[in-house]
Amino acid sequence: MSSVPVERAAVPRLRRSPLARLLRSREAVLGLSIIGLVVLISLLAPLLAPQDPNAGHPENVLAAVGSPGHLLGTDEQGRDVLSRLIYGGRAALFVAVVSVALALAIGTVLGLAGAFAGRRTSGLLMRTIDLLFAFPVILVALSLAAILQPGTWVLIGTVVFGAVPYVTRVVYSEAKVEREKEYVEAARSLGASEPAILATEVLPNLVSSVIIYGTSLIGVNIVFTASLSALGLGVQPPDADWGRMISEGAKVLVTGNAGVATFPAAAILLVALAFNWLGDGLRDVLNP
Amino acid sequence: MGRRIALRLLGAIPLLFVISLLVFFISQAGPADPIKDALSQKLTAHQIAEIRNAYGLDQPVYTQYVNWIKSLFTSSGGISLSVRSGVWGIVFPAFRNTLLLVAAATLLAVVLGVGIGFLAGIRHGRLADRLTMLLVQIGSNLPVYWFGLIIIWLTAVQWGWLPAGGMHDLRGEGGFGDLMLHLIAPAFAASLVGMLIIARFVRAAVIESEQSDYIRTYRSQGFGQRAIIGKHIGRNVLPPIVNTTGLVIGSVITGAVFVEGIFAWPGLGSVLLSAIPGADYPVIQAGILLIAVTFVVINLVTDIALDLLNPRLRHGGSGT
Repeated sequence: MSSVPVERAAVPRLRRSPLARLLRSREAVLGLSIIGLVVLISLLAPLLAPQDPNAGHPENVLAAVGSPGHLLGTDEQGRDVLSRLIYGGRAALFVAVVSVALALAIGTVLGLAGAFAGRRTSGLLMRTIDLLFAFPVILVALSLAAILQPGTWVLIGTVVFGAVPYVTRVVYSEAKVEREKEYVEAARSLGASEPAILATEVLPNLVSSVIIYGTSLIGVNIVFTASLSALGLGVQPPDADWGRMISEGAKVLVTGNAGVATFPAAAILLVALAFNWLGDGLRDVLNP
Repeated sequence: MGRRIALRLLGAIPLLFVISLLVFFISQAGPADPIKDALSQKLTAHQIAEIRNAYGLDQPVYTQYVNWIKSLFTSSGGISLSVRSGVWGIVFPAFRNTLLLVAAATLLAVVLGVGIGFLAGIRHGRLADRLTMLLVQIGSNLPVYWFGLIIIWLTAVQWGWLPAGGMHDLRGEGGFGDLMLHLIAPAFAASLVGMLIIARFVRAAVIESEQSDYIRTYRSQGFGQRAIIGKHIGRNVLPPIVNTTGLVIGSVITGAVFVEGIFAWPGLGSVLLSAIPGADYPVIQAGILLIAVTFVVINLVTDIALDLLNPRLRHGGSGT
């Protein structure tokens, strides 16, 4: 009986809940705080923005940073940069979260299919996926823009297309490892059907990898969709959007008003890094 | 070996067919009717029908597909809907410029990416490695568009080293040196994302081979760092480098399209972006098809290069 106290002492440390362990990782907390803050700001934008983000003031164009009433100055049309910055993350976050969620769903199905289908189906599927890895996704964006006209749907379609091969690969390689494990064999010998094994036995073991991967995908794609919007393929004027703000501030960046383009660029960088950090933190917790 | 390469070449044919179908689909799926949009104000329904007939738009879909493919093999490549001139006349010169930019950016991505990855990898865990990886992380998350602007601001406006944009100095003699001066900044900006992907890959490959048993054996036998890196680690990371180069070609092409506008580089990206609002499908389709085919060809070349680098195949093996 003398061993009992020792076990009791050890158990709480090992069995600490995933959330508690996540909160002990400094980078995860930093990432989570930044993301939380930006989501909150985006949701409360109408309350927080000091001015109408789309209202131009021709008499007050390119006001300097710190001018009265315009903490971050104004742009070429006299619009308040701070207000546009506060509104500008909404589309980016929405697009990134929705399209990564879609990509995770599609990629998980394809990855599982690749791992559990017959050799020929699996071979064809995974070879296609390999090819799409390096595909210049800008072509997808341009094609979708030609079909649908530029807009948010172009961004979502492009991100989904670009992300699915990566998710599929991750799920495929993990599912192949799981497939060989004894619990799958056991379920099979108990008469479970292949789809049932996939859904109830294998899938739960892949969830953590998929979540980790999805988190870093969101960061990457916030940066990517910003560039697409800057090109004019995504969010359309006059809507405030970080990517568009960069291209709108392009002309005046070289003439000394660097802030108009640089504040949104910094916001994109910060949010993308935050998702990276959270993803790394999640990896340490869920896949130690 | 030869058989393997022939199989790879044959495998590209169905792929090209699928790509051509998808690109053809663009004009079919679009809600915009370019003829109607452009002319419905001025012409009667009967006249519009005649024009549709002239463009072959009233024929069955598969006939239209065949006609489109045929038109791509003529010297004009079809007629642009907005400028009424031959498609290839618009697309080819721009494509050549984009190809130059992509080639230069790929070269930079490989040279700098391998250099960064190597230097970080052999200093694994030390300050230089950690600093480099921090910069790599920041660089990977920078909006390319803004990065291009900053490069112009630094190299052209602040330091005055490089021209701010375009392909040639309109007042100067032109020539190769002038072209290179104009090329370096956009190529660097376009290469950023791919460069950092290669850097991370190479770093991981170097660390892995540093820690392998045979390198430890060489080291214990007294071989110097230089000999080990040059002869052994270098050789082991070559196939992954070719492999990643194939993998980043897509992001380099995407990067090139992103920065063309900023650097006023007269490439295909700008042509396509300006063709989209007017639904100029012949130009859009020819441009997208050309880049997609280029991508397939580059992929094929890297696959074959990997076959040639693979000693198991090189020394007369039948392959798998």
